[in-house]
Amino acid sequence: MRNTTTRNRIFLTVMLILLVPTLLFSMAHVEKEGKAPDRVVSLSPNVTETIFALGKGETLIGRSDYCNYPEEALALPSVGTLYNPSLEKMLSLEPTLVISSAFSGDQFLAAVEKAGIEVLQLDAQETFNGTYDLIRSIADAVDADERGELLILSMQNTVREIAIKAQTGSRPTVYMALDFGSFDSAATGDTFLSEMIEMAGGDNVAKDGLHWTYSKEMLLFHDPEIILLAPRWGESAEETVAAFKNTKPYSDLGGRILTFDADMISRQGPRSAEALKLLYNLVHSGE
Amino acid sequence: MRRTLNSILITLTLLLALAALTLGPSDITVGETLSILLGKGDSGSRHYIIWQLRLPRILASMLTGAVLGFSGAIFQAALRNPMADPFILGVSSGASFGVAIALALGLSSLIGFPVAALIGSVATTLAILALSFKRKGATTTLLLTGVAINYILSAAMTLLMVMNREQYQRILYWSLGSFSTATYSQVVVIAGAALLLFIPLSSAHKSLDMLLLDESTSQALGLSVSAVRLAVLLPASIATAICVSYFGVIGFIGLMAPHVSRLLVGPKHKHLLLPSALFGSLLMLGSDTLARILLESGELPVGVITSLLGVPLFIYLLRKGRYRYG
Repeated sequence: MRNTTTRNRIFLTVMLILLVPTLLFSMAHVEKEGKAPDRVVSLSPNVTETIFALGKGETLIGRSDYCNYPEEALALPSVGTLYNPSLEKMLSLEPTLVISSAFSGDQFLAAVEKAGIEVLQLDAQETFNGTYDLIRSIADAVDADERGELLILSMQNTVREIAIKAQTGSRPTVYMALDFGSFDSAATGDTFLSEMIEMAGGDNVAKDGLHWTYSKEMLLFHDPEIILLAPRWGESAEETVAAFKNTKPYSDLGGRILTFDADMISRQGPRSAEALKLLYNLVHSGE
Repeated sequence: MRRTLNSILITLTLLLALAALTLGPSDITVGETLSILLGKGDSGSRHYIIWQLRLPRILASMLTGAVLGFSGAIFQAALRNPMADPFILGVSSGASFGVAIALALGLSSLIGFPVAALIGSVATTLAILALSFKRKGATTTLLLTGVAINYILSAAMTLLMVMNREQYQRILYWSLGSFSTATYSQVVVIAGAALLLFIPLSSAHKSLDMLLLDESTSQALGLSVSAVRLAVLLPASIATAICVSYFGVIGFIGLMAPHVSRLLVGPKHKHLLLPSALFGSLLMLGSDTLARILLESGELPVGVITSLLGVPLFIYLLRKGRYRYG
């Protein structure tokens, strides 16, 4: 009895020890094969931008409705949006890899995997490091690692340059709104946009707010020097600014109103460093 | 009339199902579809699309429509109210709330939407049934409790969504309903639930007729009203909850199918139940097919189509026919 148990234990231990190199070997082996997928569908606009920025635009065979940059992306067939995608349309494009940077309709990606297509679901942290990680993961998936590192380095340089410039010089008060009115959408303190404003040398008046909504009373109290507006859906920049100036209580604000490209600033992707630079220029445009 | 109606409905549904198999955004011709169905034709993405995407989806929408139509008739009888539908006792608001809570607490990837929805809807229905159990004027209490709970859950869910704006679209689209990820295992589960619902309750048609009478009459006839009410509402609620947890809240079918059937075959449940299920099935299949072929890319939520399609048809039939409720 004793002997059998000991023998079994030794056997088990040996097997487990042998398991480790076997796993390592197979993992290394698997990574070497199937390196560069030919046919990629991107379900997120920032993923699409990144793939093009990495010079791998030709691997893309499908996009989401919202993937509108760069212009070449518009020529690709769309499979719908993240929340109402057409599984059938996607499968008919015969992709080998589907990349998404946000949670999609709950069972959708599982169904895609079930159909035998590789799915890369990226969950980027809302920081610049998160953006770099996202670019790195995509670069790895489309076999453009070097190009990815170069892109990241150049972005880091821009970010550092802006951070230094922002430390010297003034800090104007800023309010950034993606929407306004009874249902407002402001860059409150818990958002990445707020962090970007601070990085760009602005003092975000809404930084004590939460959940994308800010009290209009507090806004009037702060009366920020710079107001950044994103053109609303279906409106031109001029139309949005005119509407803003005509809506109470925003009409009583005295600050400078400037518009910005919401897509560029909110998408975590290759344009994020440029977006920070743009933000710096907008924030300091009164000087 | 009645026999003919049922045969017509069954034939129409089968024809629509066959047509739906050939329709979709990918370029598969009718000939290719038929050969894939018959087992010939190469495997690959087309085979997958027909067998793993379109067919389970068609079956799922037919079965769900049948369950909702049938349950609608049950609810309208048990609650003695023509405005009742299977969602009135908290199945839909409970399911959506369950999903919203799971998302807010970060549990959604752990347990998945269907489980969260099922827990939410079953818990809510049981709570409503318990809150209004054995009260005088039970149907009114039941209805009002259901309506009140629907309001509060709806408000709670909106609050959760306002505080988690990034998840807003996710919950919204889930709640609008979709058959796009239907699998055969889901089809099997719903088929099972449907059989467990249809078979016992179809033979209870006389009790259902009697439930429509006022309380004192049915009690005088020897019917234990609250017991029967509970006995028919529970399986209908559970079957509906299972459908909602898989595919979201798809409205109007549960309300409309029984009424349309009543307009055509009269209110006796012996003749009403089967057409209600068949109409539900046909409408749901039609709506889901439209939902996936109307847009150039992407899909429309099927709950939107059921209302857009169903309401004009319903109003037309209402104006045309003579209406008898009970």
